[in-house]
This record gives sequence, C-alpha cells and structure tokens, in this order.
Amino acid sequence: MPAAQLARLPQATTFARLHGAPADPDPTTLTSGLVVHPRTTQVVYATPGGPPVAALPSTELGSPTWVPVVQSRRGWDRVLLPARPNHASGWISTDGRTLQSAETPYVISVDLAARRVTVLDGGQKVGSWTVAVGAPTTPTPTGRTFLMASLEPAHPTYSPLILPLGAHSNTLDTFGGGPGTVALHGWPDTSVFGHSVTHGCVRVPSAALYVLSRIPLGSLVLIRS
Amino acid sequence: MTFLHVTKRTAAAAATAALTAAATIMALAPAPVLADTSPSSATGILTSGLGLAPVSTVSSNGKAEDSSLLSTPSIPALTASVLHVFADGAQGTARASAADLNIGGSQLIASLVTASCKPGGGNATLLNAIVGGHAIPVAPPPNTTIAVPPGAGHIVAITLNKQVKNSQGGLTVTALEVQLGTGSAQKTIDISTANCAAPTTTTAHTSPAVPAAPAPVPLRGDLPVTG
Repeated sequence: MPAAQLARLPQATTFARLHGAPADPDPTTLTSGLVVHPRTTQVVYATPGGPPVAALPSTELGSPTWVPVVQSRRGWDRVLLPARPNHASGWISTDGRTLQSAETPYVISVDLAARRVTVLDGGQKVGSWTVAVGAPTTPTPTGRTFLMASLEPAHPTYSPLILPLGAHSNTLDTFGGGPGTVALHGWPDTSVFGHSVTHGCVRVPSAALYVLSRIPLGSLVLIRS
Repeated sequence: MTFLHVTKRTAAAAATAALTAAATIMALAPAPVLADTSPSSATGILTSGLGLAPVSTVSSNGKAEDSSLLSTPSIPALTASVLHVFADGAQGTARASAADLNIGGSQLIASLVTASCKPGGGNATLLNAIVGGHAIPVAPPPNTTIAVPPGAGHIVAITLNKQVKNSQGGLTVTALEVQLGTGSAQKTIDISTANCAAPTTTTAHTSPAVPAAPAPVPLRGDLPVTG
C-alpha cells in the first residue's frame, strides 16, 4: 500500500475508535499462544485481502506492539486490536519479513464475580489473587483482550507499574484525561481487594503485580463475568 | 499451521448433523474411541451410554487442525458456550477447551475446562469449577478423584485430569470425566479430551520453532487509565 494511503488509515491504538474492524469471533476462548510484533506499521484488513480498516503501528504507548493471533489462514493472521470498540480485530498479512512471531504460554484469567485474577503458565496455575474490579456502574469489560504495554510512571501515585490492556470501559468514553483504557495495576489501600469499586481497571496486590510484570506483552487476558 | 474456523451457522448445522448421525452410529457400531496409535486428536465432549457422537473433534497426522464450535448441541442437561479443539500431529500436541460448562442444571459448572498434552506430558485446568456448591481444584494432579458432595444430583463420580498412556507412547488427557449412574445405568461424559500421539515428524523436518515471547521491559511513562 502506498505510504500516503497508509497514512490516511486510523492508527489502531488505545486512543482510536475503529469502524469496520470485525469483532473477535471467539471472545471467551483460549488461543494457541501465538503473538506477533509488527516490525513496521501493518495494514489491518476487515477480511484477508478485503477492505483496509486501520494501521497497526510497531509500538503502543512506547512499548513494542505485541498482539495475540486468534485465527490464521495461509498468508494471514487475525489479531486482536487495542482500539475501541472492545473486541476489535483485523487481518494482517504474514507475507514478507515484517512480522515477528513468538509464543507465550501465559494466560491471565480475571473472574469478576469472584474478584480474582489467576495466572496460568502452560495451563498450570502460577498464582491466584483476590483483586478489586469495576463497580456496578463502571464495570470491567468482559471478553478476550491482551497485555498491551508496561508503563512505569515517573511519579507514581497509586502503583509503580501500569499494565494497560487492549480493552476500554464500556461506560466511560474518557477517564482522567485518558481514553478509558482498562489496566492491571497495584493499589496502596489493600482493603479494596475483594470489592467491585473501580472505574473499570483491575487493582491487584503487589505480589500479583510482580508476577504480571514478567508476562510477555500480547499474552491473553480472559475477563469473565 | 492450518486453522479451520467454524462459523456459528455452520457449527449449528454440524451439530445437528452430528446428532442426527448419532442414532445411526449407535445402532451400527460401538461408540468411537480415541485411537491408540495416532493421530493426535482433540474432542470437546465424548460420552458413553448416551448414544451421542463425539462433539467437536479434530485429528491430525501432520499439519495442525483447529476448530471452534460456538454453541453445543442439545445434549440433555449439558451446555457449554464454546468448544475449541486443536491437534498437531507433526508436533504430537493437542488441546481441548470447553467454556461456560453447565452439567445437570448447575450441578456442575465451570468457566473453562481445558486439557492439553505434548510429548512428555499433559495437564488439565478447570477455572471456577464448582460441583454441588464445592470448588474443584484449578490444576489437579493427574487422575484426581474427588468425593461427590451432596447437591450434585445424578453425578456419582468425578475424575479430574484423567491421564492414560497408550502402548505407542502417546497420552490421552481428559480434563473432566463425570460418571452418572452406576451398573447398567452408568453413563459417562468426558469434557475436553486431548490425545497426543508420538510426533509424526522429526524436529529436522518441521518448520523452525517459534521462539518464546520476550518478557516486557517497562518504559517510563504514564497513561490515565480507569483506576
């Protein structure tokens, strides 16, 4: 695709809302663990070889872009995207050498009813912690998403590490000046754990944050009601 | 790697066809069993005593096969939202998952029931699984049997992470085996069965292994998130 045409496509980032990006076909299912990193900006198509709907940049919030592959066909991978609406996905070409592939054995399971995060490595439980999840009026969105970035705030106010996901609040278009991105992060007041009190984020104990901080970007996060 | 994605419409049609065929199969032949000699395979739901064909099955002697069934057929007193099965005969790996499982009108429920195997071993994971109001271990050791608590209805026995080695060096892992009734009335329901044969190709003949994804490097930065 010519550079000028690529530049006109909306960037598939946490700040964007995409139109025409197909919804994740199996939002409650595990994947093979395959994740891909675009070395250069990739065109995202609605169907293999179909209409382009977005451009997937090589970095998200400064971290290298790693997205999970949820479906594959010869020459094409369908990946989850970090933009709105939730469950947005799209097809990228696997021809050429512009995609780096890798496998992650990790799955992060978030059970909203039980207010519990469980980390699995190759199907084996690594740890499980009671957490705080979205309040009834600002619920944590359900479905399949992924670890998008790993950020260390220069002046942390509530957590030394923020792990934004590829999901957004369904009830808040913006929050605190941001695009309503849902994240995993710590919280100084441990009394929140076990309660539905957040604006959509998942607040986790420091032991959980330590484990989560080492999980590769692109790893699947399964959020269940 | 080849993936076969089943759309909701075709999945429903396949399920109907499977059930229609089940009565014929029941009359003509014993219930199918997983092969002892390869290929690698994965099955979402396998029953005995109920006269039903396996639901959602893939098998592979070579390249990987992958299938998702977005709604289960109308097996009496059993529902699941998604069945996902994967088998790679070349690598000798397989995996089967069932989401939002409900047996016997909530006598046994689970968010996700997964069995997987590869050369050298296998495991099972049961997320948020509850039987008769009691929690089931998330990652039980092989061949774990649990006492069936009151409130589990017709369920008389449960085996978790059932593992059977076969004579060809393969391994069959069933994440959840539920026994209903005893004696001549005994029926079993196997949820998420992965059968791994010995790999059919050597490493030298397979495509380059996909490397492990790197651990993230936190970057100095911030984003207002939905705290």
